[in-house]
Amino acid sequence: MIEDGRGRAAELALLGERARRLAAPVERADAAAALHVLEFGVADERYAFEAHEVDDVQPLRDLTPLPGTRPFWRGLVNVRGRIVPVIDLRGFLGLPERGISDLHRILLFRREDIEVGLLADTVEGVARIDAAVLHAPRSTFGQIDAAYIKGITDDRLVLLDAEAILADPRILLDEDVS
Amino acid sequence: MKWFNNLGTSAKLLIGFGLVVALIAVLGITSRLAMDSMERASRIAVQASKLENKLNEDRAVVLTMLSRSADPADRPALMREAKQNADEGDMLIGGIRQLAVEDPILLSQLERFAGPYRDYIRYRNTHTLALIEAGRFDEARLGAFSIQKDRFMALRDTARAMSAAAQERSHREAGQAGVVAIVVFAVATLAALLVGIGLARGIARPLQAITAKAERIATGELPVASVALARGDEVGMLDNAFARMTDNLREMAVAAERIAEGDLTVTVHPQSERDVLGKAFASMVANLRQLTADLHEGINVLGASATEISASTSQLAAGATETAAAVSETTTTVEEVRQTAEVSNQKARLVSESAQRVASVSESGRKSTEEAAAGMARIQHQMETIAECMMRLSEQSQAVGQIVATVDDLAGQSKLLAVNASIEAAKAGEHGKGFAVVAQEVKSLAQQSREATAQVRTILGDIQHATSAAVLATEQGSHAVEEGARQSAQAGQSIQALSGSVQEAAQAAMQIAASSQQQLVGVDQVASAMESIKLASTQNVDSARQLESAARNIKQLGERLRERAAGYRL
Repeated sequence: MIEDGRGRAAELALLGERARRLAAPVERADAAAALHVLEFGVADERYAFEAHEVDDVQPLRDLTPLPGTRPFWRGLVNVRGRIVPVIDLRGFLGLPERGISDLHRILLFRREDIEVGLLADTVEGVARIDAAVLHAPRSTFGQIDAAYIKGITDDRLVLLDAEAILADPRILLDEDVS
Repeated sequence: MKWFNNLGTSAKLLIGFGLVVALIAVLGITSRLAMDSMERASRIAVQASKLENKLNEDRAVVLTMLSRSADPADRPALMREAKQNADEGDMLIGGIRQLAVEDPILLSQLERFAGPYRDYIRYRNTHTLALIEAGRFDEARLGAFSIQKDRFMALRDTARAMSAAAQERSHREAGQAGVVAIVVFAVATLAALLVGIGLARGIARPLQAITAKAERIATGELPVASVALARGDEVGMLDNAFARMTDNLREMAVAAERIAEGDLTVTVHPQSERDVLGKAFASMVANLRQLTADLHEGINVLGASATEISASTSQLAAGATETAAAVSETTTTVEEVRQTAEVSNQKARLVSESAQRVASVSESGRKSTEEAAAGMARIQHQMETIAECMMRLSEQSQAVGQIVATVDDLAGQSKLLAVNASIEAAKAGEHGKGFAVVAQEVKSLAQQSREATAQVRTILGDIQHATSAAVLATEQGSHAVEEGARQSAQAGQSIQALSGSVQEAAQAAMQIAASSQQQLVGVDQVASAMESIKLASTQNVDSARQLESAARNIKQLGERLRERAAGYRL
């Protein structure tokens, strides 16, 4: 009887807590200012792209190294029958190669003429952030070129500019092997 | 008397006694002579009587032969008898003549007898006997009865007269001898008396005087006036010697008086080499001097020693007091020791009992180690079983891990799918809003799946870790169990050895208890002995005090002795 009574009281307390949480007013963000971003992690840092810029997310399988290229070119993968080059963001953005990286996710960007994969450690998923809270990157922010950064949230989420990255001439594989 | 006094005593005695002896000799000789004379006279008388008898016999023989009735056969015998009578008559006459040679009267009488006798005998031989032979008796008778008869009668009378004269002479001699003897005896008696008186006067009286003097000396008196007797004999010499002896004794007495007064400077010279007293006195004085010197020295030493002894006895008394205090403390300590020994005795008994308990405990411990060894064997067996189970568990968790990896991969793919769906929904804008929610839900599920698989993996990892650890632990446990079995065997042996040791320890503890008991008894005795010592120490203190006062007395005695000894002059 005592056991049952105690269990009953704990159950009632838990239900009360849930009720209070549900009873809290929902903060309604401004729909116009809301951004859908795909959040991912590289080397313990959190980055994001706007969700509509990303075409697909795939697991990294059967990476084939690509010799005679710049170091950030990691190799080629087969994604549903298509050969896609894979870029390591750390080398591309000039980040120091510190920390341990898993690098078993690929963010796929498909444009009319090119298709490129960016290596990521983890993919957290699509989140909504308030555009108003984005800060412009300070010129001294790390070693990433400010041209690739759209903004930084208060919780140090770096929103990268996919179009700028894809427009970078280094991304073109036109080097002469010979 | 002077010359007599100067004679030696032996000479005096010789003179006196010689005189008496000479007088007695005179008396003897006189008597002897008188007796000889008397004897000769009586013998003459006897011879004269015999002569008369012979005469008668011869007459009778002749008459017999003349008688008529006489037997002629007897005649030869009678004739021989007559001849013999004649010879004997001659012999008697010769004897008388010899005896009476000094007496002229008797000699003249004898000569008057001898002449007729010769005539008578001649006639008889020539006439009578010859006639008888011839047988003429009548003629013979005629001659015989006439002439011969007259001659015979005369001869007989003469012989009688001679005998009477001799007897008378003998009587006279006897009377003379008695008178002479009386006179000589009287003279000898007188002389002896005189000698005795003289000797008594000359020897005994001075000797009595000297004896009286000697008596006085013997009683210790020394007569001063000793006038020496002016005599040259032994008595005088004795008196002189007595006087010298008295002087010497007086000298000795004077010296002794001086010595008695403490004057030891006096010198005694012995009178001679054999002066025993003088030499003894001299050596006595020398010895006394030496003795007194030694006494001085000894008294000094005694004084110093007595002072030291007095100091020492004071220290001794103090020491005895301290000793008494120390002994008292020691007695208290011994009492404490006794109590401690009692406590230790109880403890020893307790130890003995607990040692016995330990012995029984070690015995049960030995049994327990045997059981532990058996248990170890069982544990080892079960550990092996556990190891097998663990191996199986490890293999199964490997399989689970593969399954979980697959699930995780599926969850990852689901999540990616959800993300891609979300991207598509975002691209679709307002139209894709509902889809976005679905995609979000899917992603959430995938996330939950991943989390669950992560948990499962974590748990599996833990399980694997635990399994590995368990396998390792099981292996170690198996080793440990082996080790334990070995050690428990060793422990069994050790406990067995320990049991033996504990048995010995128990016996030792019992012995210790017994010894402790004896020790307690001994300490009791020591305590009583200490009580006695304490008593003795108290008595010691008293004795030391008495000794101290005695030493003080000795010291005072030494000082008095020194004062006394100072009175002796050396």
